[in-house]
Amino acid sequence: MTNPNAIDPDLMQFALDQATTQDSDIEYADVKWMRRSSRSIGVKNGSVEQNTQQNTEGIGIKILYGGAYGFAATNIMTKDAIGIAAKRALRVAKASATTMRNPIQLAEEPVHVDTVATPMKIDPDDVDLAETIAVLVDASKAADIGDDRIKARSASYDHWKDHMVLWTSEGSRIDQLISVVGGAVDTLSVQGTETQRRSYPASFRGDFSTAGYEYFKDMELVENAPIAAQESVDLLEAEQCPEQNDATVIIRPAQLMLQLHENFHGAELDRALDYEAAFAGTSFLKPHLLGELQFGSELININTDATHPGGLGTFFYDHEGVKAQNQPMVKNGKFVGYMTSRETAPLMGLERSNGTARSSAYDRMPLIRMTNTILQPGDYDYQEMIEETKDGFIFDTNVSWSIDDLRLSFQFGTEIGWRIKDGEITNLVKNPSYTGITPQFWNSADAVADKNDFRMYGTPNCGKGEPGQVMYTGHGSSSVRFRDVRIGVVQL
Amino acid sequence: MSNYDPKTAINQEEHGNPFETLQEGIDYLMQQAKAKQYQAQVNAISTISGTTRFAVNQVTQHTDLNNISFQLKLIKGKQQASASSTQLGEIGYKALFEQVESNLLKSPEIPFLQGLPQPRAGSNADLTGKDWIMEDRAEAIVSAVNTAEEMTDEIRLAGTASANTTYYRVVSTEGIDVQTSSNYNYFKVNAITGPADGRGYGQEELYWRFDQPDIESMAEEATQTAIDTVESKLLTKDAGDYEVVLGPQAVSDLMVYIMFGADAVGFHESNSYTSDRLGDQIFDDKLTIRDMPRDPHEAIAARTFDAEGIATKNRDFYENGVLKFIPYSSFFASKYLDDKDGATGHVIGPEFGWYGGGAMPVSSSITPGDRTTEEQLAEVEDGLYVKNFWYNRFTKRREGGLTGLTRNGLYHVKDGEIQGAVRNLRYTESFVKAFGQGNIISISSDRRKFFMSHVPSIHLENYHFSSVAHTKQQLE
Repeated sequence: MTNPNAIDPDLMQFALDQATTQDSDIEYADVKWMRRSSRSIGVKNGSVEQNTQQNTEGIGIKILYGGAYGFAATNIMTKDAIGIAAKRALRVAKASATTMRNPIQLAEEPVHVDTVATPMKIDPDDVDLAETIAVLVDASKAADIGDDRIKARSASYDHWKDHMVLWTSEGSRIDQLISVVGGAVDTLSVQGTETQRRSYPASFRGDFSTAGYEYFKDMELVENAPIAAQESVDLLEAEQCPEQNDATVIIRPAQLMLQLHENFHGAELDRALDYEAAFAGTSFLKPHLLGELQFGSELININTDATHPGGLGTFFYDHEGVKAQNQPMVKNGKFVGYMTSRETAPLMGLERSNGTARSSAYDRMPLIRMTNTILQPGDYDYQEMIEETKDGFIFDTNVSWSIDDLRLSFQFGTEIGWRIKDGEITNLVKNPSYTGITPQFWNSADAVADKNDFRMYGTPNCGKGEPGQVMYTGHGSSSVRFRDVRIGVVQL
Repeated sequence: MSNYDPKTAINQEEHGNPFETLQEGIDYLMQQAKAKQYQAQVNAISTISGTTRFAVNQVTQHTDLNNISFQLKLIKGKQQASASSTQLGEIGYKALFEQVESNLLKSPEIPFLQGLPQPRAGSNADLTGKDWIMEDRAEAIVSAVNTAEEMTDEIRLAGTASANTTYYRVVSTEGIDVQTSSNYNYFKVNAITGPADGRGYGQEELYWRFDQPDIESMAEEATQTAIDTVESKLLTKDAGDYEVVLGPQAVSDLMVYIMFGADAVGFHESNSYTSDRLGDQIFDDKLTIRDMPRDPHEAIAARTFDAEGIATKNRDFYENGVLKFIPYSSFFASKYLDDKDGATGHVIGPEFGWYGGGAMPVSSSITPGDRTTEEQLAEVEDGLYVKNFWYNRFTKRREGGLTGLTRNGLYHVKDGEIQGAVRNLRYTESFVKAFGQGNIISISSDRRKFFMSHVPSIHLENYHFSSVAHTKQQLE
């Protein structure tokens, strides 16, 4: 059984045969067919300014020869072109093999034969374009609250489907269809040379989930647009976030998601082993720190979980054919696990990959990518967290980010903040920013809100690899209170 | 009119012949559009790339890609829709056309839409260079590693060697039928040495078209920087304002934001550092930035026509610090200038790997100055030499405000002599202020090419560093 419109199995068999039979010293091969179909709609100030679709389809062939990988891809779906790609993949592997000092050895993985798909209530491909455009136009209009300082009222919708068929020389036959839907409103307000932006439900094109169209419908963009608009205007008049070296800050999930994202790039094992030194960076989470480093306070428990329902980083099998898993990376504050692949797991003495290798398209090799990075909820009621804070701030919704290549020294800006005095929220704060060193920061966490405050968010645009790949990853958390944080770094 | 044929950029013996397929797709899509009296623009694209990544002194990923794709834009009155596809053959072209047509007919009118741009005169130019094949790239990597290992046993090299060719043809119902092609190569070497909790880093990278760079010298430079910057040798400087020499890699990092931040949408929404400042002196009068898409010796991201088929021009982006133009696509020229033919020929093409349609000047070249980088360093009273930046991001687009960190070489220079390597610092600074009037001391004569810019070293009076990146004690 296959998902609808999958590639002809005869062509897959042909490709795999071409890959495996051209040289008897080939150690492993896989053939990955992927089709990505996506739609993006953008409305600004009531006009549709973006109405595009993108369709990519092709085959990538990966060969392991002489302990080295070679990869070639084509979107010309003829046997001639596929045969040429198979030959080039071997040629590439042979060229790579001339440089190998430590031949690649793959971790074992059981054979899987499976057909899977994201559960959906409403298939986004069945939804009339006019219906979605109408929601976005209405949201853009609803953000017009009659204040001419609002220069841009934007609403957006995106969905894509990634359909992968992966056949390996070991016998795995996986057919996987992932559906993603997302959307947002955001408003830009201007007064003189000052600008303020406010987004809902999250920034940079919003929030995303592996789901059907129901996820977009449930966002209630039209209802929330005027709130975002009013906040963007209010921020123009708000108090500037002060400079302070020892602030107490409650960080909300729509910012904490990016904190988790940026910090936990350090737990990608390829980075820790210097495989990404020249591009994505390395990691301070060196192998000798595994099981030793107190990454955060004892309240902090963080997993890499590719099985979390609806997470943007949720799937069934990674692109090496490894089944999706849920594993701890930080347990009671201690650093206990990496994200791994079939190539990197053996380098840490692990018997099995924990299945985090994905590729963005047919013409990309899988790399270790975040799945869903989830901070487990604590036991604090969020309101109580505020009430017992004598003097502090709340920061929400990311607006800027920067972190060093070791994933240690970071600086973030958020769209909005609020001041807390004697347990009460007193006023808005604009241009919030904060900086820190990752383990110091997480060790200062003294309260984690409970599951009532828990929220999943997705970032659709995490970049890694050369040639570049953009991957979608999920993050979940409740609000967390941190002490002794340096804030107000950006003063304008 | 040049006789150069852009099709010759594709090495057909090595990569096959895409042109029949491209022609088939163009013919099908244009025929369908004309039959229904739509305005149509078809982009037919062939991209070929080979990327060899290495790490821990060996090749880790090695990819060989050969793709053909199409973009179709249809306009009917004030309605517009577009899509792209890599699905080939009549089934694929039919699916693409029907998809765009369906979206077109359901799309509301865009009040300011004026349709596709008109053709403009323009010629082809030879933007091709060496095709760096996979075996030669592997050999370059081996020579880099050998060079580094001669300097020190405990060295880990990582990096990338790639060869990239892009050909595209733009055809429209308004009479545009143009083609452009270019190829370029890239080499980057990153060196790491030292103990696990105190390693030093060095990196050298450049883009090239014609003559393979001296790979061994690049490896040597990167390795020396790594040796210089191990934890045990680092000086610590406090956060604050410093006189700096920014090396070419650091300047190119800032140039990305100078270009990205100059888009038409930001300009008109008061959300760009250029807003209300066209024709103003934004930067120091020593700074002239030329936009050089037609010169393969000045620009790597070179092309003779943009992704709308509009002929590109070599022109000043900043002349003695004065902003000379804002880049527009025909869509945003319609919106903001009420004239679709106010488009400037800057719509980004497939060589960037995405089809966003944004317009920006990506072929920038800073006019060289009058002294070498070494001479600039000799003139530093008490400051820092920054080899490159890392993870730069806008903090405030309206101000040109950025934050990022130094990496791969930060040195203290006093009385013209390098005193030693310095612990990495985070900067939070506006490039408008950094390159503003009176803050540029000198611009070097030696320059290096990066993907979107060809840049020198720049000596500045003042640059603000907001914190020390981290110290070993902070990890303990």
